[in-house]
Amino acid sequence: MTGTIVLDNYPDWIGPKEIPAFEHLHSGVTVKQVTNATSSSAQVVLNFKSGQYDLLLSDTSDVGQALAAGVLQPVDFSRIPNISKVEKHFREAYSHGIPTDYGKVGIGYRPDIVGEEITSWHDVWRLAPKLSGQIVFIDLERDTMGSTLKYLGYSSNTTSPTALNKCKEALIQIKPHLKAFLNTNVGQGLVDGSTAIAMDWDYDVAVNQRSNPKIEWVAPEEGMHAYLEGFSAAKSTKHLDLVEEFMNFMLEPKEYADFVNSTGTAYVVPSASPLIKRSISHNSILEPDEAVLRKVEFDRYLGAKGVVLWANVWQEVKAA
Amino acid sequence: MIRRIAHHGLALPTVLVTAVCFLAPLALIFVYSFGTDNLVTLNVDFGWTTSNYTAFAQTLYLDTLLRSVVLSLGTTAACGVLGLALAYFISRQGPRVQRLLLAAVIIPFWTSFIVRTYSWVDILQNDGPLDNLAHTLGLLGPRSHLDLLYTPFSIGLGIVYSYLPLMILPIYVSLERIDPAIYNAGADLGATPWRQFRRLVLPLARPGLIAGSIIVGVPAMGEYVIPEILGGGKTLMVGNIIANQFQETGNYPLGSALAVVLIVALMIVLFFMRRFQMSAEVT
Amino acid sequence: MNLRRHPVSAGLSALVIAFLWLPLVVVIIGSFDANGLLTTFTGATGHWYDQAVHDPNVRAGFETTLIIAVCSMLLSLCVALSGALWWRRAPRRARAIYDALVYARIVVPEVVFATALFFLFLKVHFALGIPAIIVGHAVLNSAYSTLIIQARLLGTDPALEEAAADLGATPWRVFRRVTLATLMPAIIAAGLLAFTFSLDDVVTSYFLQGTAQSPLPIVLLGMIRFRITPEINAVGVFVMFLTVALMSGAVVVFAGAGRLGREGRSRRRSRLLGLYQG
Repeated sequence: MTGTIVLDNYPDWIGPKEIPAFEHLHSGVTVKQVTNATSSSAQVVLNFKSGQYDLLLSDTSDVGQALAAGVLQPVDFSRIPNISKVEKHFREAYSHGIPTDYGKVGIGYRPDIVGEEITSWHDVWRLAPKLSGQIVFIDLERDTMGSTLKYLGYSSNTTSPTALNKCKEALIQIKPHLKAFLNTNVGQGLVDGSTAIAMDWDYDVAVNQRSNPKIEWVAPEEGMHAYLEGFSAAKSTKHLDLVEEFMNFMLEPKEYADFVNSTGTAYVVPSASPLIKRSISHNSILEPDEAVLRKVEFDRYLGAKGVVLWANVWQEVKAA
Repeated sequence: MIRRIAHHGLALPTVLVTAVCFLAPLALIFVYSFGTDNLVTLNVDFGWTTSNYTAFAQTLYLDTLLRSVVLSLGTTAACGVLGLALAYFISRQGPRVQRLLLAAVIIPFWTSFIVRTYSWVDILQNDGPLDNLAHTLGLLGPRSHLDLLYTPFSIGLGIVYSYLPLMILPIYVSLERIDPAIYNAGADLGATPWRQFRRLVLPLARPGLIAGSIIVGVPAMGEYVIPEILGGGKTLMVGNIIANQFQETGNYPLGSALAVVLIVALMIVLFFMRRFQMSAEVT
Repeated sequence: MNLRRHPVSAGLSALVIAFLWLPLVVVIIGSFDANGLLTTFTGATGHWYDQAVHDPNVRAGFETTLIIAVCSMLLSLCVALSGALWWRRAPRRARAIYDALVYARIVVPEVVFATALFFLFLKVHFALGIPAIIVGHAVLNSAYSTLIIQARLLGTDPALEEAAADLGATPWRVFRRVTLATLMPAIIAAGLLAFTFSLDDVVTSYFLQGTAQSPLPIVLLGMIRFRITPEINAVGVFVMFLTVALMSGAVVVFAGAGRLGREGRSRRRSRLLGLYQG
């Protein structure tokens, strides 16, 4: 096996030893990593289409669109035996490549500032007038609208105009009380107390909790919206065999643990646990119990009409 | 004859660069704006529909447009005042000090946009340096805050900050050529500083002021990163709407139509300003 | 200059300079922050500089950025200067078309231009990468450079060049000694602007980079995807000092090369003054 495969990835979203180890194992093989900071589905699909990449980091929504657009190359799982190490739940949700990590959108808050216990999205909306200007939401439509839909009791992947309309009203209602929609440093205000409640990703709350133990994480009663990411192959790849080999390699517990330890993400290969830092593997935020996981809904591709409906609602919320 | 051909040869680099790398993509945008997009495959079907344009009449877009115009005009005016003051001051120094001051203007802009803009979050936030200063001076009660961050003010401040050198440089360039003797003559004739400024500096600074207003005001109209970072993502600008169509949704025809409307509107404004600038040349 | 005669301008200027440098001070303080949270300052450390300097992505990104910025600045200046020289002697109507092209490049939202150029380059199989980014930056930045050079040209008296020509100077000499000399401050300002814009560009670079090494601003954007760390500040400060050092180096080299002509230049000044008064 020889050749070069080009990998589209987030910056630093891989273990430092993974690529060198793979290249060492297969002489004549080069893995060229290109890092892209944006993660919108349109951009990822454009990258699938561009013919420049063999293998791309993509979430369930990106993969759904890439598949529908005919630019995704399904892989032969018989050549990726390590896929059996991935928990079934994730394997089924990310079925055309290898799932690698996921992130739930829940609530981080400061009980000492809020003055009472929060257990649900409903509490956030109820407390908003009292904590006006101290609440932060995420500046991504899938996460904020998805969580709002959970609050309203809908699927976080719905494309029903009625549900989306209610979602819009709920967001416009709470917007005057929001300090900001952020996508960098979302939960940082929790550390110094300038933010009382943050809609935030699990890993961000886990990190911030280490700086200030007063921060609490809530898996809201109504359920949580989550992304699930992994690596998928582009239709245009000329090295499918190499891509599959690399995918299999990335799921080797040792390599996979390297990835998890350097990114600090919630993981999908339970058998890698002994090799993963205790701060991750024994963290109840990142590794919740079964009851919480059952109420987690992963991103799905919304379809062309759905994408437009969601984008319009999000725009109206932003403009309000 | 040869001289004329040689003269027209000077236009060649511009013609080449703009025709190949600008007019061609611009034409693509124009054609796209009448097309329809397959939002799954992101392929554009060339067609002849005006539906992308009629979408513009929504109040959502009109409100956003108005907001962007106000912000752009306000920040341009602020840049004009601050830029004129500094550019004039620089132009009145000796060559060595001039160079030093110009360096002082441009060097902060070599720290990277992202780093600079996020540093304003630190400066403006409650319990940040400004807020603390207000408390120390006793301007604020112990439990109240300035609340400057994530407001239209912080967006405007961020834009003024980022675009100020674009105003300073052209004004400086048009003031620098003025012979100091002219100022001295004015002073000798007993003109007050204010009168000197109005009668002497302002007319001479006009070409630079106009050029500066163009390169500040127009990009400020399309700005979307600063409103995201310093506006806390709560304010929608024209730039956001267009960028969203291109980067998030992949609805290139709608994005193109919005862009075409913006381009045409701004071009009309600029041509009026051009006549103004040209008349400055005549006088 | 008499400062007392210009208290308003001097006072405002001091404020503006302080305004421009305030974020830099904050960035520098943040870059030494020991607890890594950038919230409360608990102590100083050089750790972040160590990390920034040794980050291979930052290094490669900065090299790429610098190559792009210098090349696209030179290309922008070529386009802007030749264009502006043509413009001032061009027929009225041709001028209007030329101006329209300059304005259009400023008016087009960058994300629209970059996406369109990306589609176009893909269609004609022009390889994406560093040359594509250089061209992309120059298309936009040359318009800004043109406006600055035009602002200078508009106030320049063409009689000066005519007079020099009448006095028997060859066209090349007139161009170098009169035209270029009068335009020099504008050329420097325009070059600085083009360089600085290119140094900071994200959108055009993102679309046109292909699978080449990302320029620094895109690397930084990736680094802040989750949180702002003091390392980002350290990178910003480090890059600024490096750029200042490189630019000063370039100035010294060019000044050295130009020293030969310095004598002539001072003589030219007096001669020009003579032309004015004569």
